[in-house]
Amino acid sequence: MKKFSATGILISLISGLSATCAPVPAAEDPAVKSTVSENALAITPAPAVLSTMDSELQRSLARLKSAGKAPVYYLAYRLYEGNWDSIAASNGALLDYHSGGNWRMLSVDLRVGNRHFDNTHFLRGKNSASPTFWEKSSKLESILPDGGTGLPLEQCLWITTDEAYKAAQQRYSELTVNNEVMSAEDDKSDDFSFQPVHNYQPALKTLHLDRAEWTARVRRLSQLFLKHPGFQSSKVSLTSEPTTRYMVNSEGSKIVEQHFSYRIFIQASALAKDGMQLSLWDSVNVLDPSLLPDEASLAKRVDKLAESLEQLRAAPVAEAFVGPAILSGKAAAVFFHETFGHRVEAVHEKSENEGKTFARKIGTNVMPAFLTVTDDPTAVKGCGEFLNGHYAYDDEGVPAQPVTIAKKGVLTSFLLGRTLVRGFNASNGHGRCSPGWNPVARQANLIVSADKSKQFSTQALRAMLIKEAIKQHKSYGLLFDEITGGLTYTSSHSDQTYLVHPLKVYKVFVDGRPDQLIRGAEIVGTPLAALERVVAAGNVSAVFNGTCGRESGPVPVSAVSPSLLIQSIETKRTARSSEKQPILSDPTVSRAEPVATIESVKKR
Amino acid sequence: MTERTLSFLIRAALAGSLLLPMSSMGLAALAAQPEGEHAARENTKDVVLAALTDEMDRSMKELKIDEHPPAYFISYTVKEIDEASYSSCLGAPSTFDHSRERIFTPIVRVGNYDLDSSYPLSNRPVTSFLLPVDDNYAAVRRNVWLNTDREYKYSVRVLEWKKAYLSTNNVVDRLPDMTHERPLVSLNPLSSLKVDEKKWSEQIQELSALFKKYPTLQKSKVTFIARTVNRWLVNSEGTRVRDSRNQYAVRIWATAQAKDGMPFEDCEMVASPDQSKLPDLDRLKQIVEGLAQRLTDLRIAAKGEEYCGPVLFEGQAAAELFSQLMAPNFSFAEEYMGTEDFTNPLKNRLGRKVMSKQLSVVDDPYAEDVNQGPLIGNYKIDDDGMPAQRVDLVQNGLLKAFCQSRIPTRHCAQSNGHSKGGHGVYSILSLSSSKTSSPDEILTSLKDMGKEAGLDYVLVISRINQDYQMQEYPSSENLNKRPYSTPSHSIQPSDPLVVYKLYLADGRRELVRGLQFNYVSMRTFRDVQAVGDDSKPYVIEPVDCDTRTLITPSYVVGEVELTPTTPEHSTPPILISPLEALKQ
Repeated sequence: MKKFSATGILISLISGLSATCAPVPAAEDPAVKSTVSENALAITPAPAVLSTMDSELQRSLARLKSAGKAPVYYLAYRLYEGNWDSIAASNGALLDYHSGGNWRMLSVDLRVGNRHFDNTHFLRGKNSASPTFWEKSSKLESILPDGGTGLPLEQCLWITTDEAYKAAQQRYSELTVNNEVMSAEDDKSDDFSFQPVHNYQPALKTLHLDRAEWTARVRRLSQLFLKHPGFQSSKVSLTSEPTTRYMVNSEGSKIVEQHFSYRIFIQASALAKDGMQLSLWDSVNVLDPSLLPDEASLAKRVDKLAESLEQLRAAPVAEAFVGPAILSGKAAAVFFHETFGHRVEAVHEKSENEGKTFARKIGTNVMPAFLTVTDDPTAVKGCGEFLNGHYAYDDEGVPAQPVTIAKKGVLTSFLLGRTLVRGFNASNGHGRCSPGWNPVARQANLIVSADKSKQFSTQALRAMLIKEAIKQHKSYGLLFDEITGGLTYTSSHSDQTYLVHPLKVYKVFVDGRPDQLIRGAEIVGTPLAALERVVAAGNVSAVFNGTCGRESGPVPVSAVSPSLLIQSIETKRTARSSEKQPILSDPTVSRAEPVATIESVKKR
Repeated sequence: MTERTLSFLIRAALAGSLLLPMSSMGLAALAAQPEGEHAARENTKDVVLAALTDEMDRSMKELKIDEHPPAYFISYTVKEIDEASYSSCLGAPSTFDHSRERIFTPIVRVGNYDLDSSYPLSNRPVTSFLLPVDDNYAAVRRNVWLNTDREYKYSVRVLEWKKAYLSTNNVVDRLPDMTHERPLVSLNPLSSLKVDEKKWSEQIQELSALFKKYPTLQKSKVTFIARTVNRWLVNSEGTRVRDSRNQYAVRIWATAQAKDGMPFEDCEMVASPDQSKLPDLDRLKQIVEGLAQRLTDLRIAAKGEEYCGPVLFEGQAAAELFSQLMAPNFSFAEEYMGTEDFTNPLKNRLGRKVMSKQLSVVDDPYAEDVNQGPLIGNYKIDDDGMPAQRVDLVQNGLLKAFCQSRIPTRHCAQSNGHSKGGHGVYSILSLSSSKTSSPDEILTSLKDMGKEAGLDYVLVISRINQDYQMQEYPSSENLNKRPYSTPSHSIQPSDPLVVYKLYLADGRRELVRGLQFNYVSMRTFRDVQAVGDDSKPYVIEPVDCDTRTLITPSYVVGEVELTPTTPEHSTPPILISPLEALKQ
């Protein structure tokens, strides 16, 4: 995931796993139920792993506490362990094969100085965040064993800690000098906040995926796309990413937490006649493989997606537009994630190179008074769906907490990790990262809700859209339905803009003509202006489950929102590729094996 | 056809291969009709071959855009890479990994043999794509269709670019773009990866645990890699190749730091196409302990000083120096339009002296070793579908030939079976001398040279840093990396790792550390004064290139300059390692 764009501007990207509001059906087919497979997560007893980590932590801390100019005042080890698997097929054939897949990643968080000012402080002049210290077992020259405890693990902890310690001393000196020769910083809040001891060691689970059965199923599902010879590429995949995180720190905390993710991903792309690349996807995300939909439901989703893509190929191209629009629940969720969510992550309100959109806006109106926004990583489900951003403890060992960020339009809080921001003196459990990265404040489950008085049925919202379009002398308003993701720029050197990539957009005509699907429209704009123009909400919420890439790596997130009517939104045309349709026809059309039908699948 | 090629063919035939160069066997008609009875029979059994040939035939007949010409040549290569590995550190349970993937490399040429759409290598490396691993005709064929379409459109653009370039630039004496060659049919059975999982999982764990005896080392790892590569290669001239190769390797790697912080890293790899020819467990243990002891000794060795004088290169160091400085210059004698990113320094020196008079170099892609049998990096048919040929590159110090693919050079209009990714690249090189000396004689002449130079000691280098990885190119992780590296005028060899001072007065050997070469070049090989009688095969791995073998004896170079390495490096760890703590 991009950390910095080519121009050096920090951007944020969210890409989706999708989710509809309809509850994901539980498995009906007995064959779908979990059975033993060759890819079970090999679990080393958690106490043994934690004990090895803790003993090496204590040994290092005892010696390093007083070894250099700046004392080590905090040390934490995070060890991520997973057995990830992916089954992907296209046109009825497996794309590759991989087994094994055990991996571990170790991160060392070592801090010198004191909590007010330490080596992780933003280094002005070099424009740099604190470096990461990690080992990944899959690298040829890594000595991190991908299982087990004891000496091999200790040796890796030792050498990585030594590296981190030396870099911390060097960086701390640079930071100290910077403070002496540079102007005072805007925000003088602490670099770190302490926590009481947390001990969280639930029994570890092993979930089994019937790999052979799912391989056959994914193959069959991918074959359904052969009915659409005009598509250029298509894929059906099942990824399983069970991950266990072991954490110990010098405060005495010992935390183990598991995160399970099983995802079916359906994707297809095609070229429109004018060369525009069109791509649609759909996905299902569950926490246990036994909850994955049965094959017949998945086949329906494949067919539906293929049908939508065919329609999109034939749809007219969007033109640039400014006017009223309805964002469906999922689109609105991504809209809030980009425009608002990233700007309340404390790191973007503190660092000297950040735009600090909301830095001094606590207690002021930042959106219409009928909206309230919370971020709640403790929520497991929302709107009947599993929420992807759920966890019990964040990556800094702080218990997850629900945080109200905006109450009735007024900004009330930021999302905080252990690094503080002006006006706040404790983490609220949002210090998150991808394995191997340094945690920063990140969104988890962002939940937007509207006052009852401003909630309207879909039909009423539609009528309001038409009314607004007439008022603005437009012949149509827009309805953004499916959405793929978005991005936003928050650095002080960039324009404070955001972009949302819709998959399906409709023109809703004021004269009562049927809605018209259009292709190639992207929402662009600036966040503060956009938030103020939300005028009404729908009465049904939807979930967008996805992965968000930022300075601490891709992390699972979700956003929940009702559909929103926005008085004025700006769209631009998607960049077009210069590809031309293939010269020869699809050679497999007449020769393909009979395509599996939903009926035939049901019979199985 | 040369005598050598014929002898090779006979050898191959005796080995049971189905290698059949069409015209030499009077079967030209078959080559011209790949869709004939024979081909069809083969295709029914082989889905990949069928999908490739069917789409190739259709594209040759029908693929055409507007007034642009159709392709005159298409070639498809599919590589199926099946790979398993085990690794372990300090006796931890072995990590297992197994993957299988197929890499598809289509080449579509528009124009004709004289002027076509092929382009100098650097601008756009041949592009490779992932192909499904299932034997599913529709899925494979669809992928081949779409990628052929993409390549054809690209080729049409390149050909027009080339024509425009030629009409506006003074390109003198341009060579044709591709040689005319006879097609080849060689359909061999595919093989599947066979690994004794229990044996290797246990042995790797056992080997890595040996490092526990060397507590001052910092990192260590032992890895076993097994790989089977099945290949399909078809072209529109009628070539049909299906073959398979195996690679097995054990990689041993460790690091250490001297008390002043100077870092060391050593890596050793044993590799063979035949699993049974890998060293047995006892021998592997010796190799592990040898490496561990070397690093342990280096930690406390004295620092080397500036030196200019004779140097004996022995063992791995002799192979590495030749591999890094000289070997790449036997490749890429090709001519390119426009600005070249590199120039082969030997390109215009054919027939002239490039090495000491006593030295000769042979490239034999299918060289065998008396003890080891077939060597890693061997092949019978190159990446262009040409039979591998033994080539005398240097005879008595004079440059005689280059390794060539189907790209013609000024020296030879035909391929000599050395294509790697379409370019002429060396394979298994063998360095030999017309005059060899026993180890004692070598030492005597080394010392004599030292005395003449007024030195107290001379240097013996027995290891040069190398990080063997045994990667496969291209692969899914390296789709755009090719299996070759280009020659260079200015490349410097990596630092010597194991260097001994050999004192002239008493013949004592003293290990020294921290030396680097000071501006050496391929001219070093004009100054080879004595050559040992200890020729042996060594595994080499040129930068970003696939693993192969080099057969070298030890040799004495008359004058080599070495200087101390930069003194800047991290200090040693503050805390002793857990392993060291355990021993105390």
